[in-house]
Amino acid sequence: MATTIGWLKVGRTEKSRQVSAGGFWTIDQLSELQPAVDRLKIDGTVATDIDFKQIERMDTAGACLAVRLLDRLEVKSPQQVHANEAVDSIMATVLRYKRSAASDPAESNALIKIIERIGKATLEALDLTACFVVFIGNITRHLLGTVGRPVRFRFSQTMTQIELSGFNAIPIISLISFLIGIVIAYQGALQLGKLGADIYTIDLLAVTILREMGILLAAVVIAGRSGSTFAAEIGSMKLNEELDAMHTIGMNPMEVLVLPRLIGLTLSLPILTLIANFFGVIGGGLMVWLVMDISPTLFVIQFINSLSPWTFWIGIMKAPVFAAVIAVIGCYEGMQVSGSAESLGAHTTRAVVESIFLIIVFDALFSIFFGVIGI
Amino acid sequence: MTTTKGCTIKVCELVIRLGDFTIHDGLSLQVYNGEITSVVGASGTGKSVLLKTIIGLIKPIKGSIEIFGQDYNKLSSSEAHEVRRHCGVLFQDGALFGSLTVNENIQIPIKEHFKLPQKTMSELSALKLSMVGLDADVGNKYPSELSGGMRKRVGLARALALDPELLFLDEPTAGLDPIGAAAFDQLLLELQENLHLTVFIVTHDLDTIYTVSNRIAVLGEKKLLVSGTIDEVRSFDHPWVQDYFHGQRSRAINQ
Ligand SMILES: Nc1ncnc2c1ncn2[C@@H]1O[C@H](COP(=O)(O)OP(=O)(O)O)[C@@H](O)[C@H]1O
Ligand SMILES: [Mg+2]
Repeated sequence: MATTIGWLKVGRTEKSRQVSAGGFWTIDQLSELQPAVDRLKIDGTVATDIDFKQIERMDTAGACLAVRLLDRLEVKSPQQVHANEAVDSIMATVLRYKRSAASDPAESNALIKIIERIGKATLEALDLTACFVVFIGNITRHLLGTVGRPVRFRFSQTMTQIELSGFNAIPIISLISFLIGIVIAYQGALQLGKLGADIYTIDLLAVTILREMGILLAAVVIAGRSGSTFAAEIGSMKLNEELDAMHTIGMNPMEVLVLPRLIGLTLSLPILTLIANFFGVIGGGLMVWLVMDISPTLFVIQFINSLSPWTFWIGIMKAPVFAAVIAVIGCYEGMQVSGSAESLGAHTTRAVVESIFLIIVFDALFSIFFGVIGI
Repeated sequence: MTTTKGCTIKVCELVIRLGDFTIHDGLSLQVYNGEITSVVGASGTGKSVLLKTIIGLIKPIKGSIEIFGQDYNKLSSSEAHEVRRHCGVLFQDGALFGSLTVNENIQIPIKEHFKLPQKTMSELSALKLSMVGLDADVGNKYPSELSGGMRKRVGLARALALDPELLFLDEPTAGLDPIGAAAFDQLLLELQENLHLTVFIVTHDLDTIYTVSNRIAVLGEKKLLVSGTIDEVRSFDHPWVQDYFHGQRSRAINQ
């Protein structure tokens, strides 16, 4: 495997020019040989003799360069080239396969490029919106279809999804809510303490956790956990042509993949919200007890007093909506994957970012709605 | 250590276990310089696994593997890099990089090992593309836009990118049309002659076996059943080997 170097020499006599090459004309040597070839002065006035006899080894890359050398020297008659058999045969092979290198796509000017990109992006956005609407329509159709024919409902897949997306997320959601409960209670006690209204920390805690934070924490964790999983699972199945295979077997991906995830998550998230609420309140209560020395009994009394009949239900009501947002976007992005691993990564990221964004948007809409109807 | 002169690959008493399953148990195999060795065996006998073990992707439990006379497992990482530079590999399913175009796929081994101007690399990738029988306009497409057979050919072009001395091919003609497969056989012979290529080829294609192989190795029962020239292997007394070389498809070729 040890390689020696390749070389190119030019000599001249009165009547002719002598170009000789030797050594290893292989791809290892190309970076040295190529400048030498390109530097060669073209001189049409004298005849050129070319000597390839001393080449010890030539591969296709070397042969390519040799062909270019002959082109540059404008060698017309084969008699001018002296080579050994090996070089002859590899050069013949390369010549047979060589064609003018594919021309790169024409460069257009910068302004046109920008306009082109804007146009493409606009069309893409419109296209995506249309696709998404169709997707939602499809889901609805299948959902109604399942209601009409419960036999087609994939019970075991749905249970699996409840376990994977719901049950397995309990520890992380409990922990996070517990910690956020502590943070809210501590900050509340600190700020309200300045007014001497420490006791209202409990009201603050109750409203913040039950109305907003419990569901938001649960939804964001699930968007990160399950939204990405849905997109990646369905996306890699798509890359692997598994979805096409399903179609041919007569299984509908909507029914087999999307509905169990959608239904599973819609059932799980309210329960997860309940759990988040519980641990958030426990965390806050603990903090109130430690910092403000309010006994658990007093805490419970104040807590119950602070609740309006709706506080709890408002939080829970948002859960199925957020769950549907996460599941639909996760599955949709998964279905949009095409081509490469890069696309899989991009769509997985989008699934998470879009669902968190939409969760916040929907939360704001809910706030406005509840504000208008006055609860 | 016995002399390894004349041997490009020398596998000794190889034991490979994946999970709880022993795939090879005491397999020995030699591939000689400048020869095309075809490896055959029923589906699932571990041909692809053997190939991956030889190129260092799977670690054997026991046994030694020598490539170019060096024990792969004892090489430093820079030496292993140098060995890789002289090996080209075509995986069973192409294993192209999905986010790169065909041209970029072919140029990537060159970029990794050498610093050459883009123009030269385009020239080389166009040449390789034409050698494997693809049109120039395929070069700007992405692997997901190609048919299975085309992906195979691009995989081969990438394997040939560095003009390797040792070529590993995993079922190169599976999924090619018969004319394309025949052209592939011719290309292989031509390269072997011009570049003194050593080729380790896993194949089920009897045409390929008969046209290009200098030597055939038959895997079965977790080891090498027999290896030798076509005639030697054909007369080997083992039911699977007899079935393989004297079955209906084989007879059709011999007629
Ligand atoms: N990653 C893996 N883990 C466990 N077993 C494997 C793995 N890859 C392959 N096998 C097993 O090894 C055996 C040989 O596989 P393979 O080499 O792909 O067969 P073939 O000879 O058809 O190429 C098969 O029985 C397969 O199930
Ligand atoms: Mg295989």
